Amino acid sequence: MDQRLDELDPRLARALDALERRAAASADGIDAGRVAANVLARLRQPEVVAVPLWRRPAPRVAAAIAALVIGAAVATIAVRPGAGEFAAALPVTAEGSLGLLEASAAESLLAAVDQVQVEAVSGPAAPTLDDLTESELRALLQALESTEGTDL
Amino acid sequence: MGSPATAAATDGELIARYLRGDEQAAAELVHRHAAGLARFLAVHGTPDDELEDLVQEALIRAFRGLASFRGGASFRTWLLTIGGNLLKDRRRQWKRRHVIALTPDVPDTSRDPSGEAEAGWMAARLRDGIGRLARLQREVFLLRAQQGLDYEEIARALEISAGAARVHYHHAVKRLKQWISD
Repeated sequence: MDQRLDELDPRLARALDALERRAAASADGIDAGRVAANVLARLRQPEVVAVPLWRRPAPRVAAAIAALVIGAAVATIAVRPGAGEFAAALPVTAEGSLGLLEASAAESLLAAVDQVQVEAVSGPAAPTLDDLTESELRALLQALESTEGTDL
Repeated sequence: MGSPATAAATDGELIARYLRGDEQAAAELVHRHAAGLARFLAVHGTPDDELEDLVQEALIRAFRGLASFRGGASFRTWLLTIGGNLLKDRRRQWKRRHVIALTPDVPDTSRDPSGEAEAGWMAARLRDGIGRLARLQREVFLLRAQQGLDYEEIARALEISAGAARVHYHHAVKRLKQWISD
């Protein structure tokens, strides 16, 4: 210890010595036996690694994105007038991803989404909940309940 | 610190035994290195109430990463490096939570009003200065000045050249000397 402190400026060496004494006092509070027991207990458990979204298996990411898109489309479409056409596709989409849709159902879903996109560009300002009729509100609630039950 | 039966075993032998399933070898390694790691982390500025948790986490990471331990540096140096990296991550979390006081401790002047106060002030000042160093300067300074490692081992641990380690040490000492004197 003296040799390495000799390399330093005397004032810096004294400061380091004082800091080390404080660090040693802090380290005295460590119970090595308890640390060893805790470390061994953790090592016996399987390692849990948090996998970032972009490293997860592609099918699960795709399903999650599809569910988000469908959920957003359902919520958007359901609050607009003329949501009846789309309502027919709802029970199918609620069961899973887009891959589970039959061709006709997928076509009606896409047509409904296209209609919403056109309206979003050229139509009036987006309606609020206050603008909805009782039946439209009911359709919206059913749609939301269906999307909550969607299994990723 | 270790039991008589394992006192003569080197770290490498204990690691090999642990990898074969001998938990006692791991416990011996913990007993051997926990205090040194704690001192290293304390000098780095780890708060006392976080110290044991940080020591524990660094050891767990070290054991779980033993497969990637190439033996270029000693187990102790490797462990200190893991602890330093872990502390860097934790500091980010602590800053987000705004729960850690980064101000120096108030020295206890009750026993020796002059000597204790000055030592406490200098320790706090140095710890503050160490915290302001660039990462590599800080790592090299502590591994050299506190742990007494030679430049070659520091270079292996930090994956830099021995010459670069000398330069970082030189700059760290210069900055700390100025910081202490201001």
